[in-house]
Amino acid sequence: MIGGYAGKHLEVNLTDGSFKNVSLDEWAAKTFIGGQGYANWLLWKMTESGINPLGPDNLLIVSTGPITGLAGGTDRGDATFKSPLTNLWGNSQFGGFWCSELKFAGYDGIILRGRAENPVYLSVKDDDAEIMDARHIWGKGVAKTDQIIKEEMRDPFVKVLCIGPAGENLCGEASIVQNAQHYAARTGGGAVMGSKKVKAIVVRGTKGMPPLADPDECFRISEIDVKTKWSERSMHTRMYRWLKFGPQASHVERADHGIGIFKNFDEGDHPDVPLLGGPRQLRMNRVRDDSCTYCPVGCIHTSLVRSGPMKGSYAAPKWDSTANIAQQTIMFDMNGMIYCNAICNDLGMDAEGVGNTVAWAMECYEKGILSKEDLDGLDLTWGDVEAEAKIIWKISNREGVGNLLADGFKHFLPKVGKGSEDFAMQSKGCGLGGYQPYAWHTFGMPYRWGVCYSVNDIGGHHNTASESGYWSNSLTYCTFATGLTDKMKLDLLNAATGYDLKYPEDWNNYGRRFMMFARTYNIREGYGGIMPPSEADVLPKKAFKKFTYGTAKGEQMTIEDWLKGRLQWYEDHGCDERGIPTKDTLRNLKLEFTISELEKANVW
Amino acid sequence: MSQKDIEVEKEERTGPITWDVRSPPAGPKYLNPDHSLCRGCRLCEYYCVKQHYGNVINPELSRVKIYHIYPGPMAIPIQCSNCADYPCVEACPVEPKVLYVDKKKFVLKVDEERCLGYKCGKCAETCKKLRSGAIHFYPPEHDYPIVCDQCDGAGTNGEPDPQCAKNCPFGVFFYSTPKGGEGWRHAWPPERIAKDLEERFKPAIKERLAKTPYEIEWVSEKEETKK
Repeated sequence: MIGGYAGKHLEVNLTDGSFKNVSLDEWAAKTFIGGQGYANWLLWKMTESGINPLGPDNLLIVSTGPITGLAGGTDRGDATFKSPLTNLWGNSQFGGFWCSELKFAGYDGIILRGRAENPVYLSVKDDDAEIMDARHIWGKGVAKTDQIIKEEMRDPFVKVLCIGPAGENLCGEASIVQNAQHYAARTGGGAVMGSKKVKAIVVRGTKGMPPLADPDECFRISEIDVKTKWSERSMHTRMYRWLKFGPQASHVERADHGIGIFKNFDEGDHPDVPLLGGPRQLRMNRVRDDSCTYCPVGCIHTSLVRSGPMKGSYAAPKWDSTANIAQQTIMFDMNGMIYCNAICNDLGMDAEGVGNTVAWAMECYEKGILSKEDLDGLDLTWGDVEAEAKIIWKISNREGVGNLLADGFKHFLPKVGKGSEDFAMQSKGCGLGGYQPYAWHTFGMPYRWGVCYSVNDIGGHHNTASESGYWSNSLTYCTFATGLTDKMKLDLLNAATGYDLKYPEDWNNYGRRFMMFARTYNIREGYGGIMPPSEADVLPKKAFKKFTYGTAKGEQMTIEDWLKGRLQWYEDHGCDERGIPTKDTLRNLKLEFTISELEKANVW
Repeated sequence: MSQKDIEVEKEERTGPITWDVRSPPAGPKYLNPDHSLCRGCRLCEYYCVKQHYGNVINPELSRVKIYHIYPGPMAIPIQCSNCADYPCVEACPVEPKVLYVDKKKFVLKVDEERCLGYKCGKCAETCKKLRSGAIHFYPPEHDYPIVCDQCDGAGTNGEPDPQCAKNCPFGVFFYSTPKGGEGWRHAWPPERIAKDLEERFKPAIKERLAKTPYEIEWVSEKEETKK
């Protein structure tokens, strides 16, 4: 057996309550490593094309990678499924303590299939897996659920992965939550879990890390990771800002660069942005910090509303969630930002996605496309905390207008119409992240953000359109708090598994393979009904506006610029001008097995 | 400092006096965490297992355990707090005791060979009942009380050198003077520590959402300016 892997996935058929161990495919493990890559291969192999994302045929694959549990920042899990939000490849990552616990229980991942009749939760204690009744916790918030399950199990060390009411209500942007503060939020994994009537997956593992190929080398590298993160060395990196002030410190920086997303992407800069800054949050709201396994960064800054009407609620806001919930709706109220985050957190909602929806609704209200009656009497003006909090509550609980908005852009935009799609800041149904599309990618990619948003396989997400991103999610290693260089991550993988992967050639090849495989899956799924891909890899009209204020003044990405960038991306990644990878590309990337299915779908 | 002095000191002290682990005083000193500093990264577990078993990753073998418990969830590190009266030692049915105190170094030691194993489990049971529950077993490979020995022998001259304290990024672990019994916070069970932390860091964190948006009495800006 290959080192580092536990060697099997647990497949649970919820319809008849049966369990099956799916042993690790060594070829696939070598080709797709683990986490996102391996899960995507499972999804490709185990599902038919064109399934209903919320039907029993869809799978929810929660998986770990070969180095999960080995070093700081490796306790990352990957949730892969067909997304109800985009009807395409759905994927999201989460940190916390669950994934190493699953590894210690002897599994690489859990595959949920079918649909339970009544709400259940799944309990995995080493080799004993059990389906338990969850009717008494159905409808509870994530913190309460976590607490009740821990008490019920009579074991404080169980790790809980659960959904909130938003997932139960099948909201397109529902998230999956670990330890009530680590979120796999994007593309609606919570809704898939909710459609299967699974409230939680509870894991307790006591077997320890599976055998490693070279334990000494693993320990040497993981200690470099730890020491880098907690020593002065971290100060040279972005991580230090996270460690100290949290992701909110990025608000001011982004505005200074002119790439903020104020007023539904209207402006790149705003004079009031320091009101949302990291130092202010540190002084006003910070209670304590939380970490993931073996990671000393502690980037989860639990913040409490200490005064005013919203007093007593708390959340651990992150960068994108605050960018979309506060910047995009120009709500310069630290307490309001935390309160809106707290609603999303407790109901298990993607704050990033729902922020996009709310900002869009605000612009609709301003332009008269949605009237006060349409919005159930909410006065949805820019920056109104009360209205925003109420509409997020409505969306998560599917009350009134929330029932319409909960499905996600792809489903409600055709119903609303009237030109509102021009300023719906989304791509393929998934809302854009916290960067202006005109800006150049900041992590060493030669493309504009707009290009990355549009070609991204899960929709308008900001982070995954790069080889490094796919590698991180497949390893699994934290994308943000990294004490290791890419080369050392590969060394750690080699030491754990006994592979012989070289940096940079294998890094680039494998990353490209994961990326193209996701694209191939989307093409097999008919690109959400819009083929060829180039017709779905698009941005709303507003992304091409000219900026008139502040540091972004005079900036513009014209449609020609963007088309040129997108064509460049297609060429760089071996796709033709319609965005379809060529047969040669697929063969070079060892993805031959996809060709026959794509030929059946008649794509070339 | 003689044993008698220690006894006197035990009586005189009313609360734990703490020192930084990097400059510990001479004489009797016990390792204890300042729970409010912990961020729950579990590196103490990592280094504890590494010290005792070599290059192995298995938190079950750790002498210090991180509880993620409510209200919160808060991370509470629990390890042997070296209670002055050692109820676990008293509970041990074997003679001479499997668990014993090294009076020179003030560390708790285990005679692994003679232990009856988890089926006896009196020490763990007593600790759980009376104190923090810092003793556990890992049968069948390590079927003896897994309990903090302050990494005895890890130092350059064979002295105790607790690896959790040495490697904690947040400086959670401190040395304190020996004192046991009910009044000592470090010997409390994690649930009680969490409750205590909650009380000390008011306003208390209880519910994620104190009120839903429809329960809050919002005061709009317009109304405020009218007044």
